[in-house]
Amino acid sequence: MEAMTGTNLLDQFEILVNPGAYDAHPPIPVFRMDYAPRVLSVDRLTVAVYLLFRPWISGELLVSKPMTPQLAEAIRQYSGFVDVAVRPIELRALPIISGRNSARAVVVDLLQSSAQFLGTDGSTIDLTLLRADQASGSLRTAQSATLVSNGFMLADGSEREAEVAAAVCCLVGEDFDLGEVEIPPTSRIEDLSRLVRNVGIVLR
Amino acid sequence: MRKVSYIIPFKDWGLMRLQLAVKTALSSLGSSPGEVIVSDFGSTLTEDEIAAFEADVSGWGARYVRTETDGVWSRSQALNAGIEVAEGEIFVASDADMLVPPGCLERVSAEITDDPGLVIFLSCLDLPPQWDDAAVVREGIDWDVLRRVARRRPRWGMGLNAVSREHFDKIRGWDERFRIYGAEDNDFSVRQRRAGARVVWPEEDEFALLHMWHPPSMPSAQQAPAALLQVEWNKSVYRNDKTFVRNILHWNHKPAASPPLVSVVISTFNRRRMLAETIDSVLIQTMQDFEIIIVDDGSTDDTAEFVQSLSDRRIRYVRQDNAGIAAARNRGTRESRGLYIAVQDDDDLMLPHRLESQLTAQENSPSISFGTFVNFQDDTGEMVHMGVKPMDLTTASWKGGAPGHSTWMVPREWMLKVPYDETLTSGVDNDLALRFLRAGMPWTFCGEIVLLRRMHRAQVTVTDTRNQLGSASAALNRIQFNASPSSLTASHEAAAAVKRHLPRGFAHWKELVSPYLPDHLVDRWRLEWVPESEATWDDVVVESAHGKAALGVRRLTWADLVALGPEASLAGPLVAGQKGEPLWFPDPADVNHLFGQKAVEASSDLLKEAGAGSVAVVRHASDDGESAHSIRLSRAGGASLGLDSYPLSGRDLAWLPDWLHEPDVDVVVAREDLDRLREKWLKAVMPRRFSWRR
Repeated sequence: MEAMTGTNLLDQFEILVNPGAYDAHPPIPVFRMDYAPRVLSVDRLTVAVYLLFRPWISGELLVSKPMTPQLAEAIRQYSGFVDVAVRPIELRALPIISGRNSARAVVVDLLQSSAQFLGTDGSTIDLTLLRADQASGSLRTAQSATLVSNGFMLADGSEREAEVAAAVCCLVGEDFDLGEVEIPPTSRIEDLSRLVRNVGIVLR
Repeated sequence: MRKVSYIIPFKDWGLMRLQLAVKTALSSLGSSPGEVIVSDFGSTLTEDEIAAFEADVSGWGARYVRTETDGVWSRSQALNAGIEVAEGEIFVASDADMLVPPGCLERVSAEITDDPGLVIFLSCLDLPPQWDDAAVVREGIDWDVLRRVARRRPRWGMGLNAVSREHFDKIRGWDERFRIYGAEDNDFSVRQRRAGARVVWPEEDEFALLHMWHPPSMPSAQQAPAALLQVEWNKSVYRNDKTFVRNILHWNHKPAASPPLVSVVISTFNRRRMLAETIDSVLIQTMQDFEIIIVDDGSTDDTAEFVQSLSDRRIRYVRQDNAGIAAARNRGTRESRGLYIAVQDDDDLMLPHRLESQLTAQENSPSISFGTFVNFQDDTGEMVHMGVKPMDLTTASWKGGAPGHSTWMVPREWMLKVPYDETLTSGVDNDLALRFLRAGMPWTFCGEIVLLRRMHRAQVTVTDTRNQLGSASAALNRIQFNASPSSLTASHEAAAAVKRHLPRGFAHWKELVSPYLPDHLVDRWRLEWVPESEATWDDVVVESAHGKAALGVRRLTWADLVALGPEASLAGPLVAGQKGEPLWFPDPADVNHLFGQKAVEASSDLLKEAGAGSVAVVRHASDDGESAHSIRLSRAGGASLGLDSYPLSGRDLAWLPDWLHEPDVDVVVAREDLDRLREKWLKAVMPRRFSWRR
């Protein structure tokens, strides 16, 4: 699977993927978010791409710039039965970004519930993840952010919802200076934490 | 863990090998629930031998299913025949000469139970000539010893794979057009990938099957020119056909539990007369694997009695208290079982090839398929073709329009995920189309006019214009909301430069669609053969090898079309004229129409000669400019034929010349076969002589 990033004509951030010989064709081959990250390290982008499109990746995952061997190995381990090799890899030492803020990410379906925007206690940033078919734009306050994407189309079930939420946190992590994030519940929280700590984010 | 069905296709090969294959497969299941099915595809056996064979297979612990055939091998059909009776939720396709290692099928079950989106490919290790089935029986199976002497085959090309039932259904099984041998396995895996399953080749020993040595078993018939032509054709399908849903018009071995391919969802409210005509237009579709969900949104007329009186089991009636069109449509989505939902309004009419065209437009990965449509006035019959632009974020962000609602075919799971907005009273279709785009769903133009849209006084767009416009502007604003003014300007400029899609046959669209207008607007005729004794003054009497018959013009009503079912649009040239106007059908004595009529009758013979079924447009033209046959086989298996490039039957009457000039055609008919085909063709279509009776 080859991934490319950019912004489209409507100023949305996009990750486009192109399947390789063993990959499935993702039914939705693009991730779009109304907020375009300003700063995004290649390791965090790689984890985000992998988590967003994991159910369709088999074989090689190609990203634009080299990442650390630790991250490549972490992705291989997370993939379990399916062989996934991430390229390119940079063997020289690269820094791991670390953030100072903590956040709590909640996925909200406006049609299923009245929008339960989180109350803030001052110590965390409340990240509300909305569906792009129900909302447009993005909103940032001192202690909260609302992000709109089509990530819900890539998520079936709670495990995938957590993976997609973690992916979005990786994408905005540097802009929001995130170091610790609480994501929706998943049975794979330990595996996911082990993966994401390679890019300097602690999952709860 | 999910139950495994291990399928062994079989024909006339060694029983000792088969027994070893069955026994090792059963043993390999371990603690996983499973079954082994031997699919006997036309072994040349007497009735007594078949009974004995079945008893043997049962005695080994496997199930036996037999398919009578015309003698031609098809691994695809043999596998489908086995899967048709399978009870498992995971299907493993194998062969009759494979030893299955212990634990293999147990692991397969565990991994696909954990992730049904996997296609697990099993490797093949070839045993050397001293290790045939007799040697395996004599020496016993020591897996370590066998693995040491075996050689690994390259990946692909063996077709040993395991897939979940839901993914098997998504691509409608193995493509039954593949015959003889070759490419069906690669085709199957690439279609699985297009439908969203990923391929895995595990390296562990337990996923490598051992192939028992045996002498080459390919009969000489498979080396005949016709067979080799078929093999080439198989490869052509694999290389060129980018669709993933197959067996669209005919699936000989569809499992009973498999869902219908399409759910036509119609929500209705007090439109009994128009609803009847809408349902009729579905019933004559060339693609018949559908269900029709009628959601009655609290009608107070006789809609309930009418729908419940319909005897077709594919029609399901659901009634709810009046809750509005969005709620009714969402109910229809929840009630449906089809892989795709064909959206249909209760006052519009599908054209007969709509479902087939939109399914064959599904290439590379799922998308929302749409077509163009024709507006017709319900009181006068006046028609206007409505073109459409490509549907993407850029074009939609300009003015917010969307393809005609009743031309959409949408993967059902997408409609479940992004439903109609029930807070809206009007414009729900436009709102949904733009939200589909925001969700990232791709749209694909199917290339055809697919709908007759009825213009009448009770239309929602007529009765609720204010709300509709308000809803449309809100939806457009949501699409544009994130963009800066400069980006929006650039996007609008890009959208303005995009040209509208032109459907095939556009130059003749009125002739193509008018036969399917309601009976109160048009008279409709077809050239038909009738016994000479029933000939009328205007008919042409033709004497052929089969005796005399008359070719005459016959008037058909919609009831006649429904009685013809899928043949309504295929059985011959169909024309229509405005009600009460003089008949403008060409003189039935026109010899070209004689060809047209006979061509349909000859098509099945010719198809067999040419290698039955095809990918897309297929033709053969001679290099030296001589006249040649043109054969067009639709991807779904339908056919229309031409002689010397003259357009002939039914649907292709008008636009066959258009696509004859398409560059991407496959040459399937070998040049050396041309004379034989021409002779057969002429024999089939040419009457001995004409006699005129006026």
